[in-house]
Amino acid sequence: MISVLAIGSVLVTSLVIGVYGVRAARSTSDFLVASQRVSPSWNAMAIAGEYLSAASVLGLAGLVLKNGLGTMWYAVGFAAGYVAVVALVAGPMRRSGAFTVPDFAEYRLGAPRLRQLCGCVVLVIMLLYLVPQFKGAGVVLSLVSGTPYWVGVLLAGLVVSGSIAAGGMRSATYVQAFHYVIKLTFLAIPAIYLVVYSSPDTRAQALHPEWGTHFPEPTPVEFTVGARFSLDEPVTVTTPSGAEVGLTAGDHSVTAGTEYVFPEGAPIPYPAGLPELGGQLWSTPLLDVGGYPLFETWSALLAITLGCMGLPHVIMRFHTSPTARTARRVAVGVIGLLGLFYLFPTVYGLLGRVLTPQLVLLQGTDTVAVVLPAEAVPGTAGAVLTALVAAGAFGAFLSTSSGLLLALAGGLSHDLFQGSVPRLRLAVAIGACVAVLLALPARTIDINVLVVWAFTVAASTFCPLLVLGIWWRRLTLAGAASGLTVGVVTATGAVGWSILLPTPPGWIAVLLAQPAAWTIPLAFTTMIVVSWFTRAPDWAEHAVLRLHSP
Amino acid sequence: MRQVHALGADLQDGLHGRKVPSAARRLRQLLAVDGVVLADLDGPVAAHGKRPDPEEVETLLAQVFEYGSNARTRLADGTSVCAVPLYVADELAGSLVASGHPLEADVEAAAALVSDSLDHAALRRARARIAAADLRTLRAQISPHFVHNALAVIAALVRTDPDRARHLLSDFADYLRYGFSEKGDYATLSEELEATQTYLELQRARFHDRLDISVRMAPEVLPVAIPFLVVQPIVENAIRHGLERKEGRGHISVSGFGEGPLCVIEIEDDGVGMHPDLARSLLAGTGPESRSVGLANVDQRLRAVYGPEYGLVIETAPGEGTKVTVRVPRFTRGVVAR
Amino acid sequence: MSPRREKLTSPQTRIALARGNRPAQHLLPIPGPVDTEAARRLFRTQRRTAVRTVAALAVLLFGMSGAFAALPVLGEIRLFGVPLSWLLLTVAVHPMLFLMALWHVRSAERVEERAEAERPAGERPAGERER
Repeated sequence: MISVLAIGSVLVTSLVIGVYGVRAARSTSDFLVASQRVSPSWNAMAIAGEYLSAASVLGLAGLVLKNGLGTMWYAVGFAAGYVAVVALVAGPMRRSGAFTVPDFAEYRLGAPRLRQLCGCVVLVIMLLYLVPQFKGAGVVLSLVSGTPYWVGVLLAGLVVSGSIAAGGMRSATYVQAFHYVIKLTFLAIPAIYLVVYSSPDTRAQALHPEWGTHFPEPTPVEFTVGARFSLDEPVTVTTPSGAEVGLTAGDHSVTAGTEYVFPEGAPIPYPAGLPELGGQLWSTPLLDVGGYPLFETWSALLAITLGCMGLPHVIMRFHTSPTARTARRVAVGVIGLLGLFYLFPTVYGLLGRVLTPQLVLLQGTDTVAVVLPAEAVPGTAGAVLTALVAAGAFGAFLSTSSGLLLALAGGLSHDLFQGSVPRLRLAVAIGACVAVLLALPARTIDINVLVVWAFTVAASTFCPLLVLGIWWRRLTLAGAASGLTVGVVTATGAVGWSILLPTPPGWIAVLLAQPAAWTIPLAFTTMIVVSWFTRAPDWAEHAVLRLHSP
Repeated sequence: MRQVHALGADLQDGLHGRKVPSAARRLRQLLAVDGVVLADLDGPVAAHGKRPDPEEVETLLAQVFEYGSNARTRLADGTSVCAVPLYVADELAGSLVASGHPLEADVEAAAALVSDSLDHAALRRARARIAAADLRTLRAQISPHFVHNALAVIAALVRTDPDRARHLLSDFADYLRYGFSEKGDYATLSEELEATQTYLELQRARFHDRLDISVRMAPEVLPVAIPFLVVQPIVENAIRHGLERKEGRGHISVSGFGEGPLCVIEIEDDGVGMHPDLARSLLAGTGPESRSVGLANVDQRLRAVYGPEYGLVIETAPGEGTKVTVRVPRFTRGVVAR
Repeated sequence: MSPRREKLTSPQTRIALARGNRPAQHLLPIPGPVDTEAARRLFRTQRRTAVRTVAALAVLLFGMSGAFAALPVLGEIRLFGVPLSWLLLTVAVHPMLFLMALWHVRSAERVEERAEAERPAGERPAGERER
């Protein structure tokens, strides 16, 4: 109940800020105040607020619990992406005056026709990014209110599109900055509380995964989804009717609806195909799902670091800075704010392994940050902490998905269909509907898998377009168009295949699941080779040089 | 027919455009001759097909330019060559030379066609110049009425409230610097708002503070580049035609926010409003001369820069106040504030 | 808003708004830099700076992950009871990223300031100056 209240108050506050937070001036002297630009620190906070999505607030902790410490490479990538943004795009992008990536394409290549292709890519990236946000919101809402998952997702869709329609993003900067503060404090306070008040024993266990993972107390585990899991030693569990069931060491399958109570001290079974919780694989800080840890880590790093600069809603925010110079400085500020935030997800993951390991079996690790405080701290304090995290997660969802939906709607109405006046509200409604429909069947797919997919597509499409467009004079329209097409098809196809279809084992599975290592070079090469064979217009050099002239 | 139309397109950048060789090819096909040479006053610029000896062409051109009339000659191999002058805006601009038994009347007709196309090209360039000049006219035109009022107000205050007079005078100087700025055709919304503020400050002094102002700006649209002097003329219109005639206090509000890829600026007053027919005729460019300066000019410039769908939207009725909405893309290629 | 107000536009705008799609627009030209040669020099210097930063970033990220793979001992050494590799990955890397970005901004701004200083005084545009 407290959680519902907390979420409600975050929502109401955001709406009030969004609608009335525009600086209002009553006299002429205030006119000057109103016409001054937003300060860099506000802007940096707004960017960080929009950027920290459900993937960072919920997904990271969940993946640490499930796959191990290597997951934190995602967080490093998310922050390192901004280093690439500072170095490669922030300043020049601001000088071009472009608001969106399609705008930049028009500036640099002078072809309004490329807009439609760019619009398609925007659509793909934004949908891939939106679906996990809705999933996260659905999970959190259904968890705190006890409603089914689909109600949560539907509610989330209504809330976001409703708040945009009500003008809740008119002063997006202040709303997003407010959400950064919410996310940081609402995740940090419970994390610090948990660290300080958990027993020394728990803390030591959290830092010593090699001691193995055992249920801290008799724990009922209700399999809401069918699962296959492995045990290293035999365990005797009880069913709710009181019957004892002996589970031998090895693989077991259970159907949905089964309920077992694991006795205190029993080793945690781990789902087939996942690393043993706390095992060597789990505690080595590398991403390892398919057996090629270094390749997977590098490919994911490439995807995230380079994908960041290709994300349409990231690029848009630099338009708010008055000059190229401030745009760059703002991006540096964002790195600082992100670094501060990313100290906390690990805490939930590590403590979650000790206190709520059953989430791994239930395929519900994305909820660990919300579930953990109530499990660890009994009574009202736990409920309050849970409410804080839930509200923070909801804030993450709200700011990111409104930013994404607006970018999606802008692309849909302005670039793809080229309506004479963008019918923004209609486009927002359509975008939200599609994202909700796609989120409904995505319940068991990890938030981060989908988010990294979006990053991979961005890194294989807009990243080469921006990098070559800004730093290479000879990029041509034909080169850009063919590179974008190749990038979007290969990146979307590869990850889609690995998620939705069975994959052959070994290298191919890894190449499909983490395709950035080959799709990004492929897209770059296509753009360069095709550009070599075509001629850039005479003004192309001017267009490039202007991006770098102070 | 298609050839004739394409000829016009080829010549749209004048005799020195990129597609002039293609125009020469088309002319040769149209005239069904062996060769065609297009020349400006300095000599040939493009040719297609068999071309006569350069010296022959030069003599022929010299003859055409000397007398301003047609010239014919017969070459050693028996083909005849005909040269006809090209006139752009009644001024000699070049010549069309056809070789290989052309009919003189045909060549003359073709030369007339080329002259017309070149004329169009010149007109198109002139139109762009006029559009740029329009903007400058607007800057100069706002001032007389306002400069007079402003100076009168300041003069009245000099004795009673010298401090305020000094402030206003410096505001006035700022305003003039912005209005007469030669920096370019575009400014950021933030700069435009500052200019509007100084304008409003002066108007408030004149209205003896009978004027309420509220501004609500979403900060993310402030760096958007918009054509120079878009907001201020609308505010001026609201004051001159909406609030000046109203009894008692008047209120004017300026708000701006982002709407996806667009930037929306709304200027609303609670003045006497306008008859819809008057507003309609103003925007159609058929309104009374005295009032067609502000709104109509802004509307025209917005459409010229962004395209027809981005013209002003006016909501008004007599006695109901007026709301003017400017809706422009946040980015348009070539619109850069300097 | 008063319900009695009528909504008006110019005839051109009315027709354009009623039309479903937007015809391709004419492109306004991009103004070029004042001094092309100086702009080219600046562009090349900035490109070098950018390449340097990206290379440093690659070394940091790939080097650190490579070190985790090659030296398992990093997971055994403990600082304040926490494995060193964990500390590097979850805490230490962020200040390094921040400093790297700061370093880039400093160098890029220095390059721009130098270019600005070399330019004759009258040609400086006002837009880029800090207020």
